[in-house]
Amino acid sequence: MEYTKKTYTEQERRQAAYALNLCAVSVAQIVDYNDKYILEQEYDAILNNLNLEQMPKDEALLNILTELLNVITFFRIQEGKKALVEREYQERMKNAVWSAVPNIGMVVTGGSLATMAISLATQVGIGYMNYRKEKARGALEKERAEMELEFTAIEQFNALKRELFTTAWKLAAEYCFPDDYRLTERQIKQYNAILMDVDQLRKYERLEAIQEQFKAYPPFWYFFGHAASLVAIEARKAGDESAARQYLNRAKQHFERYGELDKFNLLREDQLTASWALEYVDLLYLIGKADREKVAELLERAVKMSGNANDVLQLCAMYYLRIDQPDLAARLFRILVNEGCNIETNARLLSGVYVRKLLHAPGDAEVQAAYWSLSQKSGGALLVPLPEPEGDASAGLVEAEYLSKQRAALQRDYRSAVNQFERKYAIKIKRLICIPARNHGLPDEYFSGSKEAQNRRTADAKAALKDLKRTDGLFNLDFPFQYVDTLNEMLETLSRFPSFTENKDALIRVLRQDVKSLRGEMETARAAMENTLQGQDGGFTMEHYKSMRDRLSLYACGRRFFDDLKNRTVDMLDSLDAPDALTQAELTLAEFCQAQGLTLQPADRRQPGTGLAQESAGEYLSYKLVGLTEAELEDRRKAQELLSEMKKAAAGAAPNMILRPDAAVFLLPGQLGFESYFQNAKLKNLERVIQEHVAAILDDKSGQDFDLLFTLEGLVTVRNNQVA
Amino acid sequence: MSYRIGSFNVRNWSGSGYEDQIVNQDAPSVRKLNRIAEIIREERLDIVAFQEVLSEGKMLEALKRRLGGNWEACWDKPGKNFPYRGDKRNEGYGFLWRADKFELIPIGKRDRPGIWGNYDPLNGASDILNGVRLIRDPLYGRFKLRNQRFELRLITTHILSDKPVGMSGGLDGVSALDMRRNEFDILAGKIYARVADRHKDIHGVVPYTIMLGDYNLNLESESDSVHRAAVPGTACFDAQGRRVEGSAHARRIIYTVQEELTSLGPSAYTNNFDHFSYDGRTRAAIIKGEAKRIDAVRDYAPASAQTEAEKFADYHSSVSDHVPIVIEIDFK
Repeated sequence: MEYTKKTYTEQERRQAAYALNLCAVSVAQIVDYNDKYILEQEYDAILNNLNLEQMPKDEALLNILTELLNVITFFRIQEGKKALVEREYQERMKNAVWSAVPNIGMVVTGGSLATMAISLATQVGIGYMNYRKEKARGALEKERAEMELEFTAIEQFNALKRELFTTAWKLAAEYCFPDDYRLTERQIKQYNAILMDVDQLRKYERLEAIQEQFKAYPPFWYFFGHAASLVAIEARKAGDESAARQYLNRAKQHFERYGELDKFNLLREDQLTASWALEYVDLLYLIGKADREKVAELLERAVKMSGNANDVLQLCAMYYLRIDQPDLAARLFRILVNEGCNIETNARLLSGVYVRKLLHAPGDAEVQAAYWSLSQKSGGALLVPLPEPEGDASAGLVEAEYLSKQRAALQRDYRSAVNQFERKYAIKIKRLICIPARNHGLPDEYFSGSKEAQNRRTADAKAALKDLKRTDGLFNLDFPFQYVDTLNEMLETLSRFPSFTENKDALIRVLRQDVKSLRGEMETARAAMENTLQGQDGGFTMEHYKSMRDRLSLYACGRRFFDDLKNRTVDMLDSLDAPDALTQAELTLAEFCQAQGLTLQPADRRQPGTGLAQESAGEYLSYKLVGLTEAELEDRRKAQELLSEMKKAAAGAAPNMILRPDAAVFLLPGQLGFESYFQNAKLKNLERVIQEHVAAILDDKSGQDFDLLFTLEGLVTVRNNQVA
Repeated sequence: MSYRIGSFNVRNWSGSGYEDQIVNQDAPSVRKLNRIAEIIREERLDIVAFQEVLSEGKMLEALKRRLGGNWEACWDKPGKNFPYRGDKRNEGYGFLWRADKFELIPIGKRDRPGIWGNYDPLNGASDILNGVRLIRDPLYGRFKLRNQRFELRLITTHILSDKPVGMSGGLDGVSALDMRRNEFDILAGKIYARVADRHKDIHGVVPYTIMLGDYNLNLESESDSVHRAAVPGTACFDAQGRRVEGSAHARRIIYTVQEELTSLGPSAYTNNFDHFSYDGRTRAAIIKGEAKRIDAVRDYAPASAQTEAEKFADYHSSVSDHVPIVIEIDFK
């Protein structure tokens, strides 16, 4: 019987070559980048995403793929570390989004965001691109050791890479595809090295030099176009419009080449194609040829190829806003909020879209329901408020209310950040004055302000001072130097905090005075330490320890400094009334927190109060289950009734309460001013008032600042922001 | 179901094997064989790793037959690779295992356990102390549980006690103690890692790795003086397989256990040299209880040995200068 060798079409040959090259480049990138997150990305984007129906049916190839997946699965990044990387990416994306959308009003008014200042997809990009960019920049240097692959992983991947190339040789022979379809190890290594080049112009020229070798490899043309786009953007920034145009045209050619080549459907979900589509949109805007239909078509393709990857959907949502397709944008924002991706940003943007729709079609029940659903899911995120059902419902008014809320939330966030920052440095100071001094391995929790931690430290100090045979490591005699160094470091770090920079001299003066007053304390403590070490009288005792602990703590000596800083911060924010300025303040805070490792919880932005909770604890449980008596329930019911009557009376009296509207305002529950009254960051002793028990507020806007709160517990006065 | 894994340095166990049994039942090699078989049988060991097996493992074959039932054995010796050429006794290692409970998984092209010599390119004796190359290679075997998707990878080692004579270069100015510690670091940091992390051919089987044998190092304890040869109970290694202090940068932690004295002289136990080592994953998943020695001196003494002194003298002269150790594992 004659054996007839199978013949393959040109399409099949190209497809086979592409499949092999895709796998080979992916494995090579895992080795060359030596990074667990990139391993994860290659697994998700390429190796575990191959459409096996389209792959050459070769047993050796499939065996290698199986072995690759086995090895990758074992070395995959831990979920915790992965979440950390993705959170950092989301932070970068959030900053980029708000750079592109300087104020929420643009979303509410429905103005086209075509003037979006930043090409989000090109300059930030999806996670796959962005991580590599940051890594190449060296921005991820500090995580390098943690992300490094184990040497055993590299060895196995290298071995598999060799097997892959061997298999590729055999398949090349079987499919008879031209040798230049198949990428060699050396070519791939050079290609990977070029992709890591941070100099975009040099990268472009290096890619240009090797383009012939990659003519059948679609991803090359995407990266080629991407590099050209970035060169064009840089040229434009530098004012060289002619160079910018030239590179933009080249980028267009390269992207079009990608579009022609990428028809094999080898990947089930293709992030690279999604990225290409989005960057192509950027390019069209940059060259001023952003045809709406074409852009919509590209966005649709990006969404289709995204596999619901959040980073792609995030970009698509922004671009739908850009082309004034709010419904399509809303659909994606909803997905992102439900998936917990950048909830604060996306919920805010989505609320802006809903408000816009309501301004055009007030009372639209579906939109109102959607808004309500969003408010439940957004976990305190700052939403654009709904327009008032009656009265002047305009975008301007909505924006004004939103800004007021935003300012209050920001003030709270800034205070929280300062408190966390103070805590961070308080722990650093405690480490310096700790007894015994050996504490480099101890976690921060040991130095927290909790009662348990304090007791533990006291007990340890007592035990250490008892056993004075071992004085090695007992005391830190250099603590005064380190104390000042730490405070200086703290002040240097705060130089990025806007309210500190503006009031630097005054704040430092306060701190200097308070630190100076500690001189005697430090000298006494050091002398006692030295006496102990030299076995002389007048040694260090627990009294010395307690005195150091109480007086040298940052909470003691930095009290006035931090209180002053917080007050000046609140005042600074009060003075900001332009939307851009508030957004910039928010960005500045986010960057500061990220740099300092501080976490901001969504501020406790209370929803309009609805009075006391209903009597029943819910449909399933009764209060009696937890031991509440009938008498207590009855008291509660009476209180609710009384409050309800008080509110009715206040509402009835409201129109006639104020004689001079410029000097005072009468606030009722449910009104915006009522909520924001309790969000005033300057209010002190607020814990003395139960907001739900307040029926009305007489807010004194004159210089006297003497407010009255009408509460269930009686009349409460608030003088100069201090609750009596 | 649990399994008992043992390690036994059988000190220069030589003989003609089965032929000895036929020819002379009272030959020392046969009496030793009988004692060892009794220990294995009574202690219900399922796999035993042997060190210091000579004569190309013929006695292991005899042991296999003596035990009857479904046992398999293998033998191999290091020294094929540079730089350590082995000693004149042709010392080797062996594995003995219950073939009804375990089947072998091939290692590359080998279908049996073999000496692990899978290193980076050899660059000469200087690699010995650069953490690349061992002086004496271990034996490595892959044992899959029958009818279950678990695999036990065993690395058995006998770390050199003294600096080898006649080996060119590399160890000048290095103490025997440092040499042993270095061997341990390579075994635990590099060899163990390579074995444990090899995942490309697992095909749905979950592997766990244990290193075991005669380390010629006591387990570190707080009462140790600094000059006592010690292996740490917890050793941390970074992503490149290098020892690091503290766990902050550790990518793998190797736990070494078994702190009872296992080597002996003619009259008493002397050192704690025989151990098991494994990583955190193995420890959490399959290690059951504590590793311990089998007090073969006292528990398996012949009737003729009545006193402690007699028991030690008898065991030392006729069996070994080590007693076996055992650990129990359970694949949940």
